[in-house]
Amino acid sequence: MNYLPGTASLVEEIDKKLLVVLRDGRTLIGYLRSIDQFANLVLHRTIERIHVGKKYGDIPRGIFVVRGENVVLLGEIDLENENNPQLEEVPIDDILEMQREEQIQKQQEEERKKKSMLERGLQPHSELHDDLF
Amino acid sequence: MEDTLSPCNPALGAGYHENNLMEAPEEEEDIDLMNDETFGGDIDEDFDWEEQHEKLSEVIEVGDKVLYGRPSRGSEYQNNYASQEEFMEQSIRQLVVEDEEIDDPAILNVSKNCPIPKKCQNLDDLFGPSSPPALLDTEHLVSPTSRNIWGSPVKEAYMPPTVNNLQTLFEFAKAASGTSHAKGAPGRTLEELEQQIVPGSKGHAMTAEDLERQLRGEGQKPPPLPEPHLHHPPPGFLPGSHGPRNQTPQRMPPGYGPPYMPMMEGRRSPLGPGPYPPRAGEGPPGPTPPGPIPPHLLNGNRMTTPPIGIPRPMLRGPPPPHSPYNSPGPRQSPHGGPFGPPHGSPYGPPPPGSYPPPHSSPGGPRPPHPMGHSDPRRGRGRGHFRGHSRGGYMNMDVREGYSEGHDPNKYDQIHHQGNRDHRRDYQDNRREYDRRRYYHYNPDEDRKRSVDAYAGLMTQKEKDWIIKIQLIQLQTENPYLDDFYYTTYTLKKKAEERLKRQQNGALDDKDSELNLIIPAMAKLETKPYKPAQFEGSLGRLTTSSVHNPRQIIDVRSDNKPHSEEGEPKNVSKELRRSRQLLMEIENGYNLLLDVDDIEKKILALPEEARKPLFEDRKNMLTDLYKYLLCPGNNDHFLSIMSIRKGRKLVARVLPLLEKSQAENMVQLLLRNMAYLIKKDQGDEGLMCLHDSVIRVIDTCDLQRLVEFATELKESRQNQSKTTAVAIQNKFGSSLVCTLLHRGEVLHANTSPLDMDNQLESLWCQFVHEFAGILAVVPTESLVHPKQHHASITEHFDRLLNKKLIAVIEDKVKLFTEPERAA
Repeated sequence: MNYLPGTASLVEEIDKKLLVVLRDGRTLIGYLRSIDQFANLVLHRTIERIHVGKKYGDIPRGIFVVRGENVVLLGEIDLENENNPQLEEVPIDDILEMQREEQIQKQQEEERKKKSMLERGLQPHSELHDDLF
Repeated sequence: MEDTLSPCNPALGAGYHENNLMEAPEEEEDIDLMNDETFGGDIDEDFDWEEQHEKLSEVIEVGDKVLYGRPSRGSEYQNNYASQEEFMEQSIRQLVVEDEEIDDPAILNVSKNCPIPKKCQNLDDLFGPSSPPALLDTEHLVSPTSRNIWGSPVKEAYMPPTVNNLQTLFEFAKAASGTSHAKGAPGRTLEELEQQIVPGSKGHAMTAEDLERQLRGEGQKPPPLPEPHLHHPPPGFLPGSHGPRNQTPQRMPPGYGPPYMPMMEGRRSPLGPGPYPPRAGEGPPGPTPPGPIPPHLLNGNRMTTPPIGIPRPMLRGPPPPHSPYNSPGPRQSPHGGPFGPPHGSPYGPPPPGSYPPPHSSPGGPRPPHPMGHSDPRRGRGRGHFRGHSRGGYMNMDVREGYSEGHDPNKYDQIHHQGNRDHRRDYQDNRREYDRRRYYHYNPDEDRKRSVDAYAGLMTQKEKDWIIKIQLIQLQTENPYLDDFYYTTYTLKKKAEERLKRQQNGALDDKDSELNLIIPAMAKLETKPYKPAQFEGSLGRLTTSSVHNPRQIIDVRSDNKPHSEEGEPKNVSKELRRSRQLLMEIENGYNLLLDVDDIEKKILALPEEARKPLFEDRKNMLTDLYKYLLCPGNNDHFLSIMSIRKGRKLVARVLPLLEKSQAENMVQLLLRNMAYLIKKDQGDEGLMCLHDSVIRVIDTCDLQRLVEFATELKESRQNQSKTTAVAIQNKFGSSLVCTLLHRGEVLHANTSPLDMDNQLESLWCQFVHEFAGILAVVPTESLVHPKQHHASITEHFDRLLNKKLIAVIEDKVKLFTEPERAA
């Protein structure tokens, strides 16, 4: 921004605590330490936060180097309000379990939809999932 | 027998060569297995080679144990730490003696008092212009940082105080591991791992310093030794390292390199590749395999160092393989003088997530790299740990302390005591780094401090570099094309600013001209590239590059509208013709757009560069004019005028043309006024031309005016006077009105003397005629002109007689008074 009005650059986000959403759906929270021209990120003290419903669980991950093309979005974390989310934190194992269940449920739902579509003679429409899903 | 042995026995094929064979005893009995020929003559009778051999092997074995910490090949590989320790202790004692015998002044000097060169002296030697190129130089181009990204970070002033008391370390470790959230990752805590290796031997390990001090009898601290190529990671290993931080003081103690060579070489032979086959895979068991690195680096080091012959003390030799997790074994360290202990530490258990790269490059240039792996880590640690509190991450300390315990045993005696300090430094750094790796979620305040410690990982230089890259991507030749809205937005903002500044005080109005600076373009506005031509050369030498390829074919797309009229053949031809007309009008518009672009470009460029653009512009406009006018072909113009687009085109071109050109066009327009008006019934499409035409008329001289008027008078085709028809059309009446107005202006401004009589009379004639027409034409059919000119009354007064005026008075009002809303 100093150099170019009307543009955005990750340079201003350095050393800030960011929330990064990746293409495969993961959510990482960490301090952005370094970037490059491809928007590859180096996240420090990263935790992966898994959300299921109103609950979430954190997995500490350490230092992450994320390839720029896999980032969907990132945003600054409000340090004041980050400690009082409306969500409930649960231990990691629990949240992983919940996530798995959610996945299974989704799959089942998809299956049912597909079946019912085929029954009606329609083509089951394959949603364009993100390639990493 | 003797016959056969005789030299030239023809029966057996006498020949010189065969004589030797012949002379050789045919029967084995004759061969004395232990004769002089085989074993060398003049051997003492007393000399028992077997005895000698045994003695030698003993010596060798001891040497092996001493140097490499294990029995030489052939004997069992001892995994037992306890016995290893014993060995170490023994051999150290021996080694101490050995060390003192080394007379080489160079080595001695190094160990005792070599000043630590500050910062980058050796860097220049290593990486400066005279240094071996290739690997290192590419970094210049790639990295934002200055030169050496492979170098270790600068040695920071801050060093966390060394913890000498291992007990406290262990306690910290316990505490730390207790609060750690990480489950699988750090896996077994340091403690567990240590327990595994050395059951109950927690208290034994001592720091290197301790040991040394002991041995020296608590002498004073040794002088700090310049850090050797520790900081010189192997090229290709760690692409991510940051340069500035890696500006290691590449200090090479003067005598380091060469003196070690002989030692190395000597040691190599007994070892061979045998004992330590490079293990690139999993090392000794451990949750996170630290092991593989050391041995495999070890081997590499051993193997490759001498051949490479880089005059650096790379022969620091393989790092001490033993991390506590390793089979405590290979004590090949002696080679790597200053490296000893430091080697051990980095090859401690790497943190869960970040298994170090060493694995990936077993074959890399060995010499510098043992340190290399640790370097970036170390660098990081150094760089960021300014404010770091020791309370934070203690896991590492434990491990470090532990591993240090091993090292000193071997290294201290082997390496010179001066190594101590840099070793300690190194360990400290590693400690920091490892601490960082083993972070866990401390309470906030701790984190606050630590966050600051990590801030600034990216130097301003690097940030600038990134921004520079982004700026380069934003360079454009045609901003209006690439980002129109942003461009106009900025221009508008600038205009506002300028306005404000003008209001406040018109100071530097000239500077802040409203031009869009397109620096990229300014650079490109050079003469057309002419490839270099060489004199006196045979043939034409090619000097083409990617940016200036040699011109093979002159391919230029001509956008000139071709104004050929299709031969009128049949109806479809008509269609085609009309389509072609449209196409041509489109081309005309394209020309207009080009002219517009040029005008914008002109604003952005300095004076000199503008000239060619002006030329271009003029040429374009001339083309356009020629196209529209098409001298000799009235119909063409008319056909254009019959299309709305064509009219618009004319209207837009008119203001851009030169005066004479514009006036010609207006003349043409007037000439065909009747026809056009006829076509224009009810459409008022001609009004689009109004403004442009008016402007032309308002600036013409009397002669032109008369010419215009003449055009109106003459009507080739129509019976009725053109003028009469004209004033029944808005456009026409506006035109006439303007003409009269202009006439009045001219009359008013020029003195009677200057006025050309002929023209004057012609004009008068016209006015009279007009008045007459006005009288005839019924009022209802008269149309208000767009602009009224009160001056017309005066003009009439001037030129006409009263009677006539009276007749047309009402109608004149049409022209002179504003149109009343009906």
